[in-house]
Amino acid sequence: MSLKQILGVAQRMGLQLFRSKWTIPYLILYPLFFIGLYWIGFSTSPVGESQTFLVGVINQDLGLSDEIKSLFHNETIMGNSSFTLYHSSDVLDKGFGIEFIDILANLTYSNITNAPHIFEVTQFEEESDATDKLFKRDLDILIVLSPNFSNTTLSILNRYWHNTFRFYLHEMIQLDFPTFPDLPTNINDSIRIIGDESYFNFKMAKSVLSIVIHEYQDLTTTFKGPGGSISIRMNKDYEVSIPKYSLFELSIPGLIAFGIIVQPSLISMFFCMEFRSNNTTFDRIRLAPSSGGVYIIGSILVQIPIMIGQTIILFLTSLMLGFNPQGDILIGFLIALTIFPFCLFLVFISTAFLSNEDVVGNVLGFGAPFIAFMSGAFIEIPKVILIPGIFPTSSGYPRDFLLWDFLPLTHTANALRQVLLYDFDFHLVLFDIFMSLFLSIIFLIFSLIIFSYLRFKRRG
Amino acid sequence: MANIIEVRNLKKYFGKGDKLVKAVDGISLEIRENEIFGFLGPNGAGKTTSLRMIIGLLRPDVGKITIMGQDPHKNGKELKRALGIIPQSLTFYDDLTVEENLWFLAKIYDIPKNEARERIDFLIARVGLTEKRKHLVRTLSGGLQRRLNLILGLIHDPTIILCDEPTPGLDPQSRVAVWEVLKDLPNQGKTVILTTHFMEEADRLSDRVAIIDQGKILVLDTPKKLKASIGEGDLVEFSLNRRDNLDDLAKALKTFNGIEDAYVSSGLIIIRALDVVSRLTRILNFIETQGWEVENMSIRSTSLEDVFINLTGRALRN
Repeated sequence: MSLKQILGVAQRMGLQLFRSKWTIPYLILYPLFFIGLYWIGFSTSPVGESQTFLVGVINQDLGLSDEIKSLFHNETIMGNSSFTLYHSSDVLDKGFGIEFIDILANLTYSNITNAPHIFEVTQFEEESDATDKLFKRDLDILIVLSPNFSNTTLSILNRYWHNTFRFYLHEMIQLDFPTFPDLPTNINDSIRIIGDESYFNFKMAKSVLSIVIHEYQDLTTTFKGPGGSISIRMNKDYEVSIPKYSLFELSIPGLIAFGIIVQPSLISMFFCMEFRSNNTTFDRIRLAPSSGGVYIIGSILVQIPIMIGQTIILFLTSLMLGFNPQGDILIGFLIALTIFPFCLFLVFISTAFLSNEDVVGNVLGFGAPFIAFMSGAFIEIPKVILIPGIFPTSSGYPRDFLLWDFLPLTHTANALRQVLLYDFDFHLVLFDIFMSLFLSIIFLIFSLIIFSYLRFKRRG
Repeated sequence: MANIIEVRNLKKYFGKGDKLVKAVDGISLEIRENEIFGFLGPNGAGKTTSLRMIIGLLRPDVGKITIMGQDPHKNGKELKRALGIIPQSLTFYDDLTVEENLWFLAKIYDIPKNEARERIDFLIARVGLTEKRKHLVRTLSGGLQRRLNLILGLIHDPTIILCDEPTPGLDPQSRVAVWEVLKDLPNQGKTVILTTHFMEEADRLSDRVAIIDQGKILVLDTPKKLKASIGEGDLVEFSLNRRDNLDDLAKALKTFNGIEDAYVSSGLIIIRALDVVSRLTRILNFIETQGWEVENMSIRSTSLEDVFINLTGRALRN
């Protein structure tokens, strides 16, 4: 096997592909047409703006200390106002935790008429029960309000009162209770957020929740007694940074993944002409002092630039038609490349068995959409769990092995979606990238063995 | 001359039971260096199957083949370099140009660039494709494509060339061009194995001919000796107005004085006789008195076809 032989095969196939009347329709027009069709049909269909996230809450808040309760019950301090004017009456007795949970449960998307709630809240007593639900994806996110949640919340009031009204809450308490400890100052320290970092519902829920918590700090800060801002206004208009996509844009990662696995059908149609039973041209190559490896590597060499070129076309078309990726497009492109070994698998496995280009064209023409569908490239497909919680993730919450996980395209589409639509960090999609590459390579090796046997060894 | 190829008891059967076909049934032969060895036989006689086994494209069921002392089925690289194949079917990429096809094979054979360029120029010129070298093969005529098919098998300057039916359907000009190239190969130190069902091709080109039928070699010798083996004299072929009872007519003619043989082949009465011209008047008269009319008549020398008919009772073209 020499480089010259390999390049000879690659050059020959490249020339033939370049001159084929099917090359431009398949490699360029088809992806343009396909993405264009989606653009026409779905570019004005907004989706994903009103998702309801499943939130579990464990309220460990011990409430306000007795000292503080007695202080707020002191009408002299409160002047003409009362604490309950600004907060629910339960707060003094049960703490700010219940108020926070109530606010979460009633939040709605303010910019949508009759919008559903942002969060569907379920309370848990035991953390293990909640994490079990989280593990099964029955919850998107879990919030644990720590025992000192109320005190932390109060500290913010203290700071505000101190600055605005010279109401020295902490000093006043310490006047009567000298040993009263300092109040914590950061509300984030008293809210623990748990979830699977690699699960995009968690990622979305977390980003929305962080805004809510921020707003809650502002809100509690505005509670400052007489003349202050009004009570619970968590329903006020504020911007929650949930990416808004059209159905077209949401479909782009899947369409790109699908577009990439379509192109093997052209290569395969072209490829199998070599193996027609009545085509003895291949006999010349078999009689030459070269090996099957020359042929295989040469053919791969010519396929790689075609695949890269078509992937670029797919990305450029998407961008030109208005797709606005949230994440790094370059990372998305690199993720798309991980499916290439699977494309090669499709080429080799189809041409190992089939010698009629029309049959190959039909098989892969129908096969590619089927694989894309089963991989969830077009729509989310039902989970079929084979082995629960087998894969470790960066969040520490193991991931289930699903039936569709056998398909590398499942992982490519997932990773593309997470990066392009939800701006996931690279490390959060590493698992999917690894699985896509790993499975693709396994498939490829399998196909090469079959191909070599059927096309080279069995024919002597 | 030393033997370059030796074949012993080669057998290849296809199918099973009632459908068993003995494509090659115990062939043994030796092919010498620098000769053109012809396999002559009708379609389905086992020529191509034998050839494919000899070059290593098909495994024999039984038998031993050695080429230059090596087993062709061991995939020896040196042996592969020594073999050139000119298949019956057109084996090129018709969406490449003439030159691109040759360059592709030159690379597959790992021929150094300068050497390949010289070789390509020489071969293209040799078969008159110089003006067409940049043309896509699919735009060439059948004859020119056949010429390309020929030189593709010669690109790596092989020692042994296996040529399977090189001229079917060719125009006379292309056929002669192919023959000239093949005829010249032994002068360049090459050995050629030629399979054909054209008696003229085998006769003109071959130093020795094996006549093969139903998987067996019937005879093997030089064309001259094979033709001599069936007797002396020229042949005259009569095409008559009726084809019934021709065998009876042939039997009657055979009894004529000076007629060596008379038989029916492909609807023609064929008579072999010494000094056949002087006997023509008598023969024609006899035929007409028997109730036939002669529509056409031709006189020719003995051919390998006659040898085949003599051996099998059938015409080669049947």
